[in-house]
Amino acid sequence: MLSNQFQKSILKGVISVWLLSSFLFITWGLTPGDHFFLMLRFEKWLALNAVGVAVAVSTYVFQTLTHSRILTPSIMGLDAIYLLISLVIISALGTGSYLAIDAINLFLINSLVMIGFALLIFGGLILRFHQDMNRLLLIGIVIGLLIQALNEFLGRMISPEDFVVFQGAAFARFDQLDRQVVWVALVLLTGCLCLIWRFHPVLDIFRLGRSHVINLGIAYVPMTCLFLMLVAVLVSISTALVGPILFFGLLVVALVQQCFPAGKSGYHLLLVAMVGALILVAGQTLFEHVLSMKATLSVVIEVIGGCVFFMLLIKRGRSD
Amino acid sequence: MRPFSYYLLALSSLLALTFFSLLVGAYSISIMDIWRQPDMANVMISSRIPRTLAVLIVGSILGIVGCLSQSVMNNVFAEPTTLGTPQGIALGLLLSSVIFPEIGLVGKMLFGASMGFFSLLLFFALLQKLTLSDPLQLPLIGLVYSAILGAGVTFLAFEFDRMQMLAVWLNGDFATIIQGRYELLWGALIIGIMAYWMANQFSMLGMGENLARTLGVPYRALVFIALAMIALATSLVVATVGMISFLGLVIPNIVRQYCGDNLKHSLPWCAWMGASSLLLCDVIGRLLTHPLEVPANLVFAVFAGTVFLAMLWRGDRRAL
Repeated sequence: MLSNQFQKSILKGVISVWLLSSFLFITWGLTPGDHFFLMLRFEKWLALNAVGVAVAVSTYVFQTLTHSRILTPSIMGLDAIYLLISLVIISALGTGSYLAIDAINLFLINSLVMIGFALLIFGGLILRFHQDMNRLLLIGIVIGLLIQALNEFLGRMISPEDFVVFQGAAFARFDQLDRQVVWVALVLLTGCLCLIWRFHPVLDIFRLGRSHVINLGIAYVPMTCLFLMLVAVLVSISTALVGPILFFGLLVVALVQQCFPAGKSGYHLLLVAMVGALILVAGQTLFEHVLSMKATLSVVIEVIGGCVFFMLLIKRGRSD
Repeated sequence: MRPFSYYLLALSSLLALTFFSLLVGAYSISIMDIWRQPDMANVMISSRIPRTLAVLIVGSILGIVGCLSQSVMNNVFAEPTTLGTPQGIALGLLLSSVIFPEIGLVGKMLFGASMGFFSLLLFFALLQKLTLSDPLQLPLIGLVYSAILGAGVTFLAFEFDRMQMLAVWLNGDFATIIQGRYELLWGALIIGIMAYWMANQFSMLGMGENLARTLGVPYRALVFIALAMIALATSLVVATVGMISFLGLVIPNIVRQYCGDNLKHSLPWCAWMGASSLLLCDVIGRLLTHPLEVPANLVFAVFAGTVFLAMLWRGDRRAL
């Protein structure tokens, strides 16, 4: 087992690289006089961090709950549900009233509905299939595919003008963030993170397995529900900001778990959050300022994350 | 009822549906018009008849291919369209349109089909290296393999500005089928008939390698022939009309519950059920937003995805 000192220095190293790339991201090519652009970049930087932290932490918590390194909320189709909600609102009310809804209210409505979905579907699934991880995973993927088909189906039913409005929400784009929701998202994110931090010792016990949780006298079902709700809010934060990203959370958590399999949950949570933020900020700095490419960061992340997912699946197939 | 009357009932319902499909569309045609107005006869010959034939062939071929691959791979979740074939085809279409754009529609389709064939063979080669402990792992690995290939294709398509072309081509939409655009499907139909002709041998493959060898079947050669037929038929279908998700997965599993594992008996029913359900979905898609259309693929995916989820959720180990 690696020493505490080493773990701390790794965390410090990640934080310092993150600070450096943040500095580069905000100030690259600008002088202190460009207030407007500095502010613009600062908001974007905040949003990137929020997304990185939300995705990474939600994935870590979800994987701890399901006792699996392969499941993530987005593989289970949670962010597709977010898109479905906006589509249903658009097709029920029409674009006019959809655009008239305050972005903040919309975000809150979405989060509430997603909490409901997460509790109903994933709570039910986890409680029913906790012993049969392959089935759980396959059901999750099929739910994701089904919701995607449903989204496309509804997308065909609405008028082209309505569809354009929807399409804006449907793709992961790090270069076009929804700035209105950034601040609300930050408040909600902070709340969620505080709650998760308050209960992180429980996560340590969840890592031991379901029977240990019950034996040690922890209310299994209520705690699972609480964590699922937090995961749902975190996913809705990241989806509201940049749209769905499939394999990013998996990539970050797999990286951390691979390097520090023995760390405590508290340490994992900190490291996962920092690495998530670091990858997005550094990657975006690289792609936007150095390579001058716009939309490809999400694709690159998807390819690398997909390969990691594949290797994890195969490795598990061998070890069984 | 005797089996003969089952066949009669099945055939007559399919005929009725076919007849209905010929009359429904952006122009509603009544039977009298075909003789009275030459325009309408033209619509029939160049659009309605090719389209209906294409739906019938695609539905039956995908049903047959799904059933065959489940028998050959000895896994009820095997289905070529979830094993990376469409993504291989997309890669082929993309490459052919970039490297040699002058080869024409049929040339591109053939190139795409051959790439799909190779991607399926690659997947099987990969599969030989793994030992699967659970039948559910096959579709999981297949879906991730598809996702990785798909992400690569998206990246290339983005670079070459071919996103829209691919999206339209692979949509599983029969609206684009006119005379001269679907003829490759006849090749797929021939493969389907050959599969039925060899059904007895293929049934023996489903009993596992040892038993099949004992029965005197040249196992490896026959598996390779079956895989080649599966890959070719799927590739021809997908390169012509695009993805139809879930068909090859759901239909054979329903048929198997009534017909058992004897392919000589179950293949015709798979073909019938695939064809008639896809045709029904195509007709529904044409009626829903008349005079516009919803692609048959989406209508089918919403229905069949729900059925598949219900099957998985019920968790009947024996049936699935």
